[in-house]
Amino acid sequence: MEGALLGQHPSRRRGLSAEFAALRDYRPGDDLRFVDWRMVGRSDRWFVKEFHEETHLSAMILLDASASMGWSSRPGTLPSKGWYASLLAGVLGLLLLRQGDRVGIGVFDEAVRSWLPPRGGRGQETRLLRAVEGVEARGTSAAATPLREAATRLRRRGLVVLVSDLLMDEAPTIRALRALVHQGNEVVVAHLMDPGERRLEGTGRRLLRDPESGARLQVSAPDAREAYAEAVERSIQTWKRALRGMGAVHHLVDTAEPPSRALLALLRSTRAPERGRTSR
Amino acid sequence: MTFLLPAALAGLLALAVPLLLHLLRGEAVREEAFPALRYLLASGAPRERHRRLRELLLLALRLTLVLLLTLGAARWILPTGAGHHPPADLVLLVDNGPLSGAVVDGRRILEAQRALAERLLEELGPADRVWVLPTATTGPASAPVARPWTPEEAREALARIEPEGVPSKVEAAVERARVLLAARPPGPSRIVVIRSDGTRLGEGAATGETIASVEVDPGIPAPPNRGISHLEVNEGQPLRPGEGVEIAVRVEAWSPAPGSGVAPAEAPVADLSVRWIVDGEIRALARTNEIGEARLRLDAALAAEATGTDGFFRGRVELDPDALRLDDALDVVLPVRPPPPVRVIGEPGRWAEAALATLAEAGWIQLDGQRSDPVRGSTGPSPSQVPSLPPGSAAILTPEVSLFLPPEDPVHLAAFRAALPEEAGRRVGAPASGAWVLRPLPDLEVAGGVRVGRRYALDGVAGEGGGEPVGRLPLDDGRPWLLEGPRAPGATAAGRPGAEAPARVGEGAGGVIRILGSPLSPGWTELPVTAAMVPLLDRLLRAPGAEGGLAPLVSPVTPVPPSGPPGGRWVRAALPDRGGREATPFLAWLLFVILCVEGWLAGTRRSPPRPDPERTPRS
Repeated sequence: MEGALLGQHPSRRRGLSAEFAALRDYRPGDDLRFVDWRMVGRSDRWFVKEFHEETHLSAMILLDASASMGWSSRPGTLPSKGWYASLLAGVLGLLLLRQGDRVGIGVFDEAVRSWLPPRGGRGQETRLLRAVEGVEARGTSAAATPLREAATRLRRRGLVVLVSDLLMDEAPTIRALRALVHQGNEVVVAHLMDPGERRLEGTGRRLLRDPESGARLQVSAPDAREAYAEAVERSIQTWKRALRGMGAVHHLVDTAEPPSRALLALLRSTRAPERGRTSR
Repeated sequence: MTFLLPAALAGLLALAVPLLLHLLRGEAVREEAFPALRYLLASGAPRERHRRLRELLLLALRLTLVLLLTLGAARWILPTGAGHHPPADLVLLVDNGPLSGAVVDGRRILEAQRALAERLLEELGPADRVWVLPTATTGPASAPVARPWTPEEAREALARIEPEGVPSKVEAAVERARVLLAARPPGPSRIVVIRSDGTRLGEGAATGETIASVEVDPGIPAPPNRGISHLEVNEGQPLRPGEGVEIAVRVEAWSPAPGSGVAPAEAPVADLSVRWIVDGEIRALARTNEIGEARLRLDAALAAEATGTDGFFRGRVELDPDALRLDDALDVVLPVRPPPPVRVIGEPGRWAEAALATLAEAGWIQLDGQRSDPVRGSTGPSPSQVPSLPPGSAAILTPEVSLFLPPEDPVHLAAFRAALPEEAGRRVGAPASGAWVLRPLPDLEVAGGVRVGRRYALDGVAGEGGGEPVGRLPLDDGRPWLLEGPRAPGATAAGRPGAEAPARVGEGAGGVIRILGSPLSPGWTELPVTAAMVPLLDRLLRAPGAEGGLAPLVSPVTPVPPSGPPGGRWVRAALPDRGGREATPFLAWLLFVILCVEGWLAGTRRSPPRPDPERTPRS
């Protein structure tokens, strides 16, 4: 994976560079140095060449470490969301660092718990791994605050990757993400979901407790399954629409699937120049 | 509520089963962390309330199911008030014992019983089948009942029932009714006993578990009763022409014992008029004394007046009638016979001669003056032949009995036996031939402590005691024995030693041969002369069944006052479905509906799994 993507972060901007990007019709005022004379000779039409500009990326990974992230529907069989998120954040950060990018990581629950500013180099790898290792899942989820802080601390426009289960208030989080996008950042959201959260399992009654809010509810799983699935789907679609609308990328990650799949998707999205792309 | 099979209501205990299952079903729910609770809350109102409501509804449906099954098994009768009932089989038993003939307030108790029966018959429809049987009958106990009657035919049979003077056998009648109903096709059936008194059968007597019975009484208090309890003519002695007759009568009273069910002691009725009626006219009067006895003395003329040309003495003993009249009069019919002629052959012994003389003096027998020499035979004009008996033996002959006495000397025993009448080729004391079978008879007991044991009857003779044949017995062991056998119609014959043909003993028209056997001394002819021998000889000379006197009256059933006049509900209880319909068809339909609803409710608990959109392959 590293070998395939190292050093390949195309900029979203088109400009002068050694790599040809595309042809377009000539418009009055274009630099004549970039006119493709061969095409003129062939087709008697005027085209201008466009080139990619290679730049170094500044990436900030925001890792949700709230109490809900410490849950697994099948302990011992499936990893917790927090473990899965730490793995994704760590590997993604390493890959970006190996590409020469600058990577930072922030761990948050209802507030920023730890903040590692984006830097490059070998030392940053160690610091990065240390930041994601042994993260304790506690507290409530509130990404709006760390997102606003990221928007404040990021001096250069770059990539912001939010790794979270998004079990939080949608409106403030979406507003904070939109602010990041408006700043010129590229925002990618890795939406982690355990299969036990996607579908309400069980054949009888279940007494459920929210580990963050402490709320309790006794429910008949068969009776509530259908409505629950609809509510989950509605929430996913809400996040997708909101993020797509602001030009961010939304990845729904199933913690039952191998992390490599999620990583590939995340990495591809960090290369895509187009706005508003989603996967899954 | 009315049930045809109320015992099935025990199934209501099964109501506890769904209840216990419902209470025990609540599994212990463990609390578990679920971070995505917000999605559940966003999905709408919690479903737990709905689930509980559905569980309660299921419980109610299952309890109703058990209830309906039980009511159906118990065959619940829905009261429709329309008076309709399915065809039923009823046996109406009318207690027509003596008390049913008691007249109270100018009406017999039987009339009140008939009125009750009519009320029941009015409720029957043309499809109902009924038997009307009296409980007291002089006919055969096992008289067959060909077929059940329609209600109209039952009314006619009811009108023919009259009080009987024999005891009412209610339990036997109930058993008979049960057998009748058991042979009928399955369906509602009842046994209704209309009693004449307060005597009850007891709980479920003889009806079993499947046939219900209803007992009804007319509610008429049993009146006090007195009647003729005993009547004897001439103290049991035969009546003789030209002689007077004395009729001894005893009158006793029976008072109902309220609620005791125990027969009270009979009390004599004193100073009561007793009448002797012949051809509707009072011919003699007497009054009972302090012990309730009265004696009607008829002189020879009155006795002759009561004796018809057929030789029977007839008349009627009457009391003043009371409520129960069956025992207030008794007809007397007795044969009047002259003293039987007695012929003596040989020397029966001094005891026998003395006894014969005494009986002749009393007029009980008529001694034939001609004595016959057992060796030479008859010398008189009588055409009868006499046996030729060996010395020391004798015979005393009457028209009905031939009494033989063996000789004392065993030397003559063989000849005595040879001279005895031969009956179908048999001889008493014959050597073992295997052809003899003796039946033991009861000992002959007479006054004075005289007793004749070892009585036997020849096989085929209806002896007094009956019993099973015991085979041939050794009659030569020296102990006295008495053998009785039939005397063949026509002349009996006795063998004569050396004679080629047996000699006739005398005319015979059936009767009995009695042989006193004892081969050793003292022989029968040497018995002492005592007063006790007179009645012995009298009994020996009396034909079987010739004992005198009439059997005393059977005491009427002691009445127990009934609890009161019956209401109308007994008629409803007597009819299986009076005023109602069996609820089983309706219950079955309701059961089906509830089963469908219960199945639907239980099935909706388990909603089918939805396909996981994340796992479905994308095209």
